[in-house]
Amino acid sequence: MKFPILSLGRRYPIWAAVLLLYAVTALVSPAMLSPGQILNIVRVTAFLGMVATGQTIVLLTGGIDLSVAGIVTLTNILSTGMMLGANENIAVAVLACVAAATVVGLANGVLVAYFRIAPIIATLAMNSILFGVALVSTGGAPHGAAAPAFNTIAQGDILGFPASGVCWLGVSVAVAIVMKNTIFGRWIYAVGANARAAALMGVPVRIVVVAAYALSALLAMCGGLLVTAYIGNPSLGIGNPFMMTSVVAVVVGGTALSGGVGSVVTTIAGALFITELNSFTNIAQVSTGAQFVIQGVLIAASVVVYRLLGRQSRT
Amino acid sequence: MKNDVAVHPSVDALALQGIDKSFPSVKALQGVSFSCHPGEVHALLGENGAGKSTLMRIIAGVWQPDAGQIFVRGKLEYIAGPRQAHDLGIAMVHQDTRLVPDLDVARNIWLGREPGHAGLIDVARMQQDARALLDQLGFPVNVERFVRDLSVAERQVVEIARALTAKPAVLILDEPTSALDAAEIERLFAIVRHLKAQGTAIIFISHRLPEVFAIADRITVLKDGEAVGTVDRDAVSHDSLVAMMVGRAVSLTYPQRAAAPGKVRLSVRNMSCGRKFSDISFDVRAGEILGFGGIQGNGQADVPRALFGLDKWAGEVTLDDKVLALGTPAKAIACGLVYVSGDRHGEGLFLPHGIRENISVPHLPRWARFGFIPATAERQAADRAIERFSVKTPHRDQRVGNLSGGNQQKVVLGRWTSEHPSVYFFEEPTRGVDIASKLEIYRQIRTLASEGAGVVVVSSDLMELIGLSDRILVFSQGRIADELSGKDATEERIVGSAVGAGNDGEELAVAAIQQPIAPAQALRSPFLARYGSSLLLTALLIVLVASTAATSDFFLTAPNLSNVAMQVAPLALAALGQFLVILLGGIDLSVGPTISLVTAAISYVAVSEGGLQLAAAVAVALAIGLAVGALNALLVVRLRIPDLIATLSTYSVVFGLALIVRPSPGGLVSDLYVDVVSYEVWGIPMATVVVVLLFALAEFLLLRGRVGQRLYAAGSSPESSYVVGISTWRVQTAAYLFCSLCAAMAGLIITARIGSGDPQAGSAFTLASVTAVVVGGASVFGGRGTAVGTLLGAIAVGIMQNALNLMHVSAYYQYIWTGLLTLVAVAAYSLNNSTHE
Repeated sequence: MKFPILSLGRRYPIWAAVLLLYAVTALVSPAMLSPGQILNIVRVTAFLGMVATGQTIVLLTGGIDLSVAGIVTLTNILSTGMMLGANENIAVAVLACVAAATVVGLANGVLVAYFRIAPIIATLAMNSILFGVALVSTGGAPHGAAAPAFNTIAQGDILGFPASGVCWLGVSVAVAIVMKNTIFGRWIYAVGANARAAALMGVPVRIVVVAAYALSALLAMCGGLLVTAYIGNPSLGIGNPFMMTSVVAVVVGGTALSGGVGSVVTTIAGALFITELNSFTNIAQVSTGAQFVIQGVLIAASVVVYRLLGRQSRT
Repeated sequence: MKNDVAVHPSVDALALQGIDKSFPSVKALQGVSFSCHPGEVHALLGENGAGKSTLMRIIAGVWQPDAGQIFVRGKLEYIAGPRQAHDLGIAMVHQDTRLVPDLDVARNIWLGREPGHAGLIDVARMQQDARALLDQLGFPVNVERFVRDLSVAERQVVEIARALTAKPAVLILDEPTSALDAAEIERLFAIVRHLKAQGTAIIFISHRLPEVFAIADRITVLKDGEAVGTVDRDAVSHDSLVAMMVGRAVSLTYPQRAAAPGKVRLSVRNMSCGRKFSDISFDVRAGEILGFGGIQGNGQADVPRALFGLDKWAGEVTLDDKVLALGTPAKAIACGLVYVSGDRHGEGLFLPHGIRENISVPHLPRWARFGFIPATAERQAADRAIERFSVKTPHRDQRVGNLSGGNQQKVVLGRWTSEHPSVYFFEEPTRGVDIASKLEIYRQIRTLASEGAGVVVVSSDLMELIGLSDRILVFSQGRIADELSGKDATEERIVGSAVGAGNDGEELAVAAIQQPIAPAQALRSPFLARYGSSLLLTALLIVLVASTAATSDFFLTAPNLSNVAMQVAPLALAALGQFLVILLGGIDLSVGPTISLVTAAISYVAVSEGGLQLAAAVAVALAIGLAVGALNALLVVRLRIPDLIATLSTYSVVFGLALIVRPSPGGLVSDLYVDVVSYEVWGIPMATVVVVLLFALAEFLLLRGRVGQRLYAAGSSPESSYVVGISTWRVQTAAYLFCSLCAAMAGLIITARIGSGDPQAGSAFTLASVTAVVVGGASVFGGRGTAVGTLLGAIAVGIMQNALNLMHVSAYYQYIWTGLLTLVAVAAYSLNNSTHE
C-alpha cells in the first residue's frame, strides 16, 4: 500500500508494466510525453487490440486461433479489391468481409468442436488455406485501394479521440461486459475451465466453442478493416505479425492458455503493452529481428511471471 | 534374495513405522505401522478413503511419506521412486490398472525392464516369457494384442503378470478383485497361494470381508488414516472385524430414515444401454433415498449418466406420470433431474472459478433476462448454498480450487439446492471427504428427500449405502440382482448379490467377459493395427503417381524423380523430428524458423571452397539445432510451460535471430557445399538415401529398441510410465533435442537447394512437417504412429507438390492444399477413432 505502483503491480501486473514501459520510453524520447503521441499509440493499438480481443475469447475456451493472421490478410485483400478506392463500394466490401469471416470462423469452430481436431492444428491449417487463397486470388500482386471515406475510421478522430481507438475500446468494453455478465460469457469460462463438467450442467459446449471461433474471426476481421483503413492499400504480408502478437498480447495480459482464467480488459493492456514495446524498439532503433526475439522471450517470461504471482497470492 | 529370506523367517519382508502423509486438504495417514512376513498374506482392510491406497502407494514409491520409517528385510530404506521400490523387490498391482493402452500385452508386461541388450529388446524372448507367465496365471491372453482392446479383467491379469516379472519379495495387490467375477477370483486366489508358498510376502487390499477371510493370514484394519489394529485371521470373528472396520459407524450417525415414502416420482421401465446395463426398472418415491450398490462397474453408475444423455439407451422414463423427453444434460436438467458425478474434479467443479460462479452455471438459462445474469439473485443463491451446507470459506468468491475436499463437495451439492428439482442422482457423494463433512452431506441429502424430492445414491461404500438408503438395489453384470430395504440390508447380502452367487449369474458373467474378446481378436492383426494406415496411404500414393504419370510424360523421368527425392529429403527429415515430439503428445512450432536460421548462418560459413568450411557449416547447423532443442526442452520440461506456447516463444526468438543474421535473402554458398550435399550416385541423391536410412533406423528402434518403448509409453500414458520407473522428462528432452537437430539438418539440405541464405526459407516447414506426420497416421494426442507412416506422409506431400508443378498449377496453391490435406487427415483420424470407442 505504501508504494501504489507495487500494489498495482501485484494485482494488475500488466497495467503496471504498461505505465512503466511508457515511462521508460518517455525517458529515452521525451517527445512521447505529448498528448498527441499518447493518442497515436491508442490509434495504432486498435488493430492489434481488436484481433487480440477475439483471441482472448478463444483462449478462454482453452483453444487458440492462429488463423487470425490469414483473416486479417484476406480482409485487407478483399476490402481493397472490392472498394477500388470508391466510397459507394464500401458497404458491399464490408459485407463481403463479414460474410467471409463468418464462414471461416464457423469452419474453425466446427473443425475443433465437431471433428475434434486440436485447435492449433485446425487453425494453423486454416491460416495456410487463407493465405493461399489471398495469394491465388491476387496472383501474388494485389491491386485496389481503400475508399477515402472508409479511411477515416482509422485516420480520423471523434471529438479529438482517434476513431479507431473508439471502435476498439467500444468493442472491447462491450465484449468484456458480455463475458462477465451474460450467460454466453459464463459458458465460455465454464467450457474453458472444465468442458466435461460444463456439459453435465447443460452447457451446449460445442455451440459455445463454435461461437467463440466465429467471434474471434469477426473481431480479427474488424482489426483487418481498421488496419486496411490505416494504410489504405492491399498488402499480402499485412496479417502475418498478428498471429504472434495477438497471442502475446493476450498471454501478457494474464489470460491462461489452459482456459477459463483471464479477462478481455487485461488484453486491452496487453495490446497497449505490445504496441508500446514496438514503438520503443523503433525509437531505440532495434531491428525487426530483435523485436521478434523480444516478443518470444516475453511470451515465455509472462507465463512464468503469472505463475509466480499466482503462487504468491495463494499463500 | 528369496532364499535368504526363507532362512530367516523372523525378519519381516517389509515393516513400516509411524507413517504420516498429508495432502493439501486431507490428512491421509497418521502414525501407521504395519509389517508383513515372507510367505504371508496380510490383508489390509478398510472403508473407501481409510488410507489403504495411500499407504500402498508409499510402499511402492509412488508417493513419499511426510514422516515415518520403512524397513525392507530389516534394513531401513528410503524409497525415492517406483524404480527404487522395484529394486528393493516391491511390486504393486494398481487398482486402476497402470497399463499403456497403445502397447501390446507382452510389451506392457515387460515395460521398463525388457529382456535384451543395452539398446535393443529381445522381442521373441519377451513374448515367450510373457506367454509363460500368463499361462502360469491360467489366463492365456494373446500377448500381441494391444492393451486398449482388452477387457477390464484381462487388464488386471496383465497387470499382475507385470508385477510378477520382478520376482518380487513383496507383492501388493490393491483391490485386485474389484473387476473380477467369482470364478476369476478363485483363480486369482490360487495364484496368490502359489506365490505365498514360494515365500512371497503378499499385501492384499480389500474391503470385502469374505475374500479376506478366504485368503488372509493376518488382517490389519485401517480407519480414517489410522491403523486400528492387526489380528490373526483365526483369532477373529467376522463380527468383531466388522466392529473394527465400522467403529466409525458409532460416531457416524446416519439421519433418520423416511417414515413412509410418498407417491412415485420417477419411474424407469425396461431401460437398456448397450453392454453397460439392460432391462433396468425401478421407481423412486417422494421422500425416499434409493441406494444403488454393487461392485464398481456393474452398471449402477451408468444408469444416471445415460439418463443425462451421456449414453444412448432404450426404455421408458416417467416423472410424476409424465413421459420424459431426455437425451442431453440440458434436457434432463430442464425436466427436473439432477446428476452429481462422483468425479468431483473431472466432472463437478470449475476449479479456477469462485464459489458463486460454480454454483450458478446450471441455473443460468432460467435466471437470465435477455441473456444477462441478475447479479443479486446470483449472490443470494451462492450465499444460501454456503449457509445451508455450512461451507467453510472466507468469501463467496473464493476459488473452489483452494477449498478442502469436503468443502468442495459441499459446493458441488449446494449448487443444486437453490432450485427445487424433482429427482437427484448422487454418485459417491462422500468420496474423499472428511467425517464432519460426511455427516453434513448425509443430513442434507436426507433433508432434500424429506422436502419431497426423490433421491438416488450410487455408492461403493457399503456402510454408507446401508446407513443412508431406505431401499437398496444391488447391480450385477448390468442388471438389478437384488432389492432390499435399508433396515434389513447387510454387507454380506449386498456383496453376495453383487458377485452373483447363483448359477445364472456365473453364466452371465462368463458370457459378458468373453463377449468383447472374440470380435476384437478376429479383427485386428498386430501388423494391420500398426501399418493399416500406412498401407492405405501407399495405395493412395500409387494412385497419385499413376494419375500424374498419365497426365505428364516428364513425371516418371529420372531427372524429375531425382528432383522429387531431393525435394522430399528435407521435409521428411523435419517431419521425423516433429513425429517424435507429436508421439509424446506435444508439438514443435519452431521447426520452420530453425531451418531458416540454419540457412541464414550457413550462408556466411560455407562461402569459400574447402573441406574445413564444409565441416564448419555442419558444426554450426548442429550447434543451432542443439541450442534450439535445449531451449524448447528447458521451457517445456523444466519450466513446464505448455508445449504450444513454449515452442511459439522459441519460434519467435529463432525467427528473430534468423532476421538478425540475415535480414533479407542473400549470400552465395560455395559450389563445393552444393555439390557435396546434392551428391548423386546413379541419379539417386545421397542425402535422400541418408534420410531414408535414418527412417529405417527410427522404425527399427521404435519396434525393437528400448527407446521406442519409452517413447510409446510416455506418449500414451505418462503416469503408467512413471509407475514403472521411466523418466518421462528425459524422453521429452531427448525428443525436443532430436526434433531441432533434424530441422537443422533439413536446413543444411535446403541451403544447398537454394544456394544462399534466406530468413524465410523454412517458414512453410512448420505446418508441412505437421502435415506429413498426421497424413502418416500419427495421433496428435500422442502414443500412436509409425516412422514409416511419417516418411510416406512426407513423400505424399512432395509428390503432390511436384505433380502440381508439372501441371503448371500456381505454386500459391501449395498453401491451400497443404492446409486442406492436414485438416482432412486429422479429421479422418479423429472420426475413425471415435467410431472405434
